[in-house]
Amino acid sequence: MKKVIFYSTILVLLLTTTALKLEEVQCVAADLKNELMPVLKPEYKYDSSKITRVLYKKEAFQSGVEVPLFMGEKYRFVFNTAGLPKDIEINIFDKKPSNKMKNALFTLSSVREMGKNIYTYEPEKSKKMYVVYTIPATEEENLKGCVVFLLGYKL
Amino acid sequence: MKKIFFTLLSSSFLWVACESNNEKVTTEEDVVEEVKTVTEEESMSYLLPSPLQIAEIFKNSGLTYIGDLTNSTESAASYNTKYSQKLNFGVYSADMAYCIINNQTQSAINYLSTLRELSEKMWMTDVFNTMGLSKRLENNVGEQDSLTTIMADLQIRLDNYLDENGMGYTGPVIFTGAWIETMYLGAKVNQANSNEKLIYRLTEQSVVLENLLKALEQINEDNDFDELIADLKVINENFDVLEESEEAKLSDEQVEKLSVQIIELRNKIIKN
Repeated sequence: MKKVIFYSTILVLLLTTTALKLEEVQCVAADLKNELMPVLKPEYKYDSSKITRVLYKKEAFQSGVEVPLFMGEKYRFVFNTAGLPKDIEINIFDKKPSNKMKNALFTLSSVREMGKNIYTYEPEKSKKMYVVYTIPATEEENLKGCVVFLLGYKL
Repeated sequence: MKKIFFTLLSSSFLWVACESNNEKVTTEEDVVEEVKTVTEEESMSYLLPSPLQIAEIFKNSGLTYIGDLTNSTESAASYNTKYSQKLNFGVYSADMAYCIINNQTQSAINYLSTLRELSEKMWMTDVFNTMGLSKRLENNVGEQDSLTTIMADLQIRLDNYLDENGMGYTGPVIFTGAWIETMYLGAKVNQANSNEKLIYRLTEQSVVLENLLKALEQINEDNDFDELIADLKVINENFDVLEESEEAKLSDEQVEKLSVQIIELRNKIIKN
């Protein structure tokens, strides 16, 4: 009987440590998205969302989302960075990322606060915008996470 | 035996501990060097607006309700390929949105049943299972804000479902059906009663079509969507005449040509 208890305890410990390890790299996008819903309500209605899965590399790189907005309508951009193991930069530009005349309308690093994962941006003027994520370099193998972007509209 | 278990146990703890240490070391040495900029198409993704938002914008610009414009719920049984099911799932979503924004609650409930029926064929039953949507719609008859909120909830549920099940490639196809149907409704209402504001809003949809084409091209690895992309590109050519101006608007003749092509493609989709 003692043996059974002993081996069962060992097995449970093994499974727990493995589960802890798995949880560390998991990105539960739906939960992260749900955390953003109250940030939209009651003024803004859900329009669409984009979950960007990030696999950090040895070189820094960028990834982007093109966002069509309709003239004269009000929008709220909401981001959740809680699914990222390492900070990234988020910029919102008024022109294509490759355009040298582009202006940064939002820069996460200038509003980032310790312990805060949810950030919002409301454009003054509605036109096509470009969200650009800059993912820093890392030597760490298989480091991954996700950033959730949700768009709300108000007519 | 005991030794083996102890070895395994200590190894697993060491594994977790080592990984945590690695994380700290990397954070300290974090240096951002040259950044590969987003110039390649593959590093961009394209957001597509909800059909509800487009329908609401059209409504605010004069999209009135005309009965019998929407796709018949009876046609759902004839969609037997995954491709036609996805496209027409989008068509019916747009029809449901059109009914909701025009307080046609019973028709909206009928479209909801049709969407559920199609979702079963597409193995997407979970989208509707837990929401009690019909009841919520029935309980909110005449409450415009509540009805649109319910429709927005359905969109969240659909987006989550596609993401959680690795079906991101399905989203642009469903959206194509929804977008064509909303444009069709706008074009038909405008043909019946021409309206400057509505023409402006129809013109403005060029930004959405641009994103839609790019999104479809990204998922077209096996050339499954060649025909659909070609059809949409024909429609997109109508917007080539527009100057880069915020107030750009198609002329009456141009919008008529656009409408004819939209109606043709929509009818092709619902007959599939």
